[in-house]
Amino acid sequence: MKRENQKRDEYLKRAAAIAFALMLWQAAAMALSQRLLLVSPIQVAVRLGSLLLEGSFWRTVLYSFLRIEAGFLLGLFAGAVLAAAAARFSLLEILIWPFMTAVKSVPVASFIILSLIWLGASGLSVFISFLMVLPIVYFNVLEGMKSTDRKLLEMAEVFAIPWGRRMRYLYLPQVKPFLLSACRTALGISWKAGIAAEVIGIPDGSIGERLYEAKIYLDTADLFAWTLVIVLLSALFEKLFLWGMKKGFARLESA
Amino acid sequence: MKQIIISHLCKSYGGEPVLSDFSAELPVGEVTVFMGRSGCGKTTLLRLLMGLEKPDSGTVSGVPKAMSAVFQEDRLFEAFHAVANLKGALGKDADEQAIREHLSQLELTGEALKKPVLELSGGMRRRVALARAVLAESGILFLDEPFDGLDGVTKKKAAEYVKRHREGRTVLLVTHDRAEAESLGGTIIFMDKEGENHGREN
Repeated sequence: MKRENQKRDEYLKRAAAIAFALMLWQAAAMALSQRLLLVSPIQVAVRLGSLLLEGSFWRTVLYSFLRIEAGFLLGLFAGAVLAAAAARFSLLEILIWPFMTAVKSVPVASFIILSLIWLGASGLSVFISFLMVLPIVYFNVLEGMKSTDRKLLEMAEVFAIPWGRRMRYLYLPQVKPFLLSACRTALGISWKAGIAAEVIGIPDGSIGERLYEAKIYLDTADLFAWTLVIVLLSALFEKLFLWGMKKGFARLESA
Repeated sequence: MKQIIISHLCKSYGGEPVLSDFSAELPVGEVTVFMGRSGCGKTTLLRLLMGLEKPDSGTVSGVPKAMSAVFQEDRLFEAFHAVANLKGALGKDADEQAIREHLSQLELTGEALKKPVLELSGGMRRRVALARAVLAESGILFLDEPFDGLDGVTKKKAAEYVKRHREGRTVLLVTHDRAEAESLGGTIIFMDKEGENHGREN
C-alpha cells in the first residue's frame, strides 16, 4: 500500500513539473509575443489538432515510421547475428572490427550525403537508421556473449550441448540485459538520425520534408507540432517494442 | 578388462605444482573414488580427465567420449526452472516424463519445479545438478563432491539414486569424506599432497 502511494506521489510530482514547464513556456511565449520565434503550447496544440485532420498526416507518419523502424529492425537483426558469429569465431571479430568502429565514429551527416549519392532519397532513412543501430547492438551483444560464465560453458562442453541449445539456454539469458539496453538506446537514436537524414535528403512525403518546409516558411508552430509527433511516435514504439521483447524472453524462459 | 590409463600426469598453476607424476589405472564400468584433503589435486585430476585442461606432461587414455558431470558448483541455467534446465542440457536424451520422474526420486516435486533454479535452496540445486548428470546418456560420470550441501538423510538418498541409475557406467567420485567415499562402493584411491597416489582399497 505504502509503495503504491509513493508511486502515485511520484506521478503527481512529475505531472506538476510538466504543468509548471508548460506554464513557463506559455508565459515566455506571451512575454516575447513573437510567433515566429516561440509559439505558445496552446498554439502548438491547435496546430497538432488541425494536422491530425489532414489526410496526408497519417501517410506522412507512416512513411517515416515504416522506414525508420525497418532500419532499426534490420540493424538489430544484423548486429545480433554478427555479434553471435564474432563471439564464436575470433577471426571474424577482428575482421568486423574496423567496419564497426568506422560506422560508430563517422559523423551521421557524412553517411547521409553518401547514402543520397548511393541510394537516393527514398531509402535514405532506412539506411541511416540501420547504420546507427548496427554498432550499438553489435558491441553490446558481443560484450554480453563474452561475459558468459566460463564455468557454464565448461559444463556445456562436457555435456556436449549443441550450438542451438547453448544459444537458447546459456547465451540468450546472459545477453538479455545487454540486448535490452542496446535496444533502448538504439530506438531513440534511430529516430533522431532517421529524421535528421530526411531533413537533409527531403524524401517526398516524409516527416523530414515537413520539418524542412517549416524551416523554409519559418513556421514554428508546424516545427513544434511535428517534433511532438516524432517524440510521441518514438516513445510509443519504444514502449511497445521493449514490452514485446520482455514477453518473448519470458516465454523462452518458461518453456 | 578395459581401463582408463592415467600415466605420469603433471599439472601446475603459476609454478605451483598441483599434480606431480600421478599414475593410475581405472576399470571402465566401475566406481572409482578419489579421496583426499582439499588442495590435493582431486578436482584438477577430474578436469584433466574431462579434457577441460591440458596436462603439462603425461597422458590419459580410454576415457569414454560421452561424458556427464556434477561439478563442485551447480552450474545450472539460472533463469530456468529445474525441468527446463535438464531439457536444455540433455536435449533428446530424456523426455519430460523421465525428467520429472527422476527429479521426484530426489524429492523435487510441486512448487520446487515451478521456480527458476536461482530461487531454489542449495540442496535442491545440488539435486538438480545430480539428476542432470545421471540422466545424460553418458559413458562416464564425473562427480566432484556431488553430495556437498545435502543433509544426512538426503545424502544417503542421493547416493542410492546414483547407484540405482548407474547402469554399468564408469563413475569417478571425488570426495574428502570417508562415508561418502564408501557410499557408492567401488575402489578408493587415496591422494595426498600434489596427488601422490597412496594406495587403494577395495
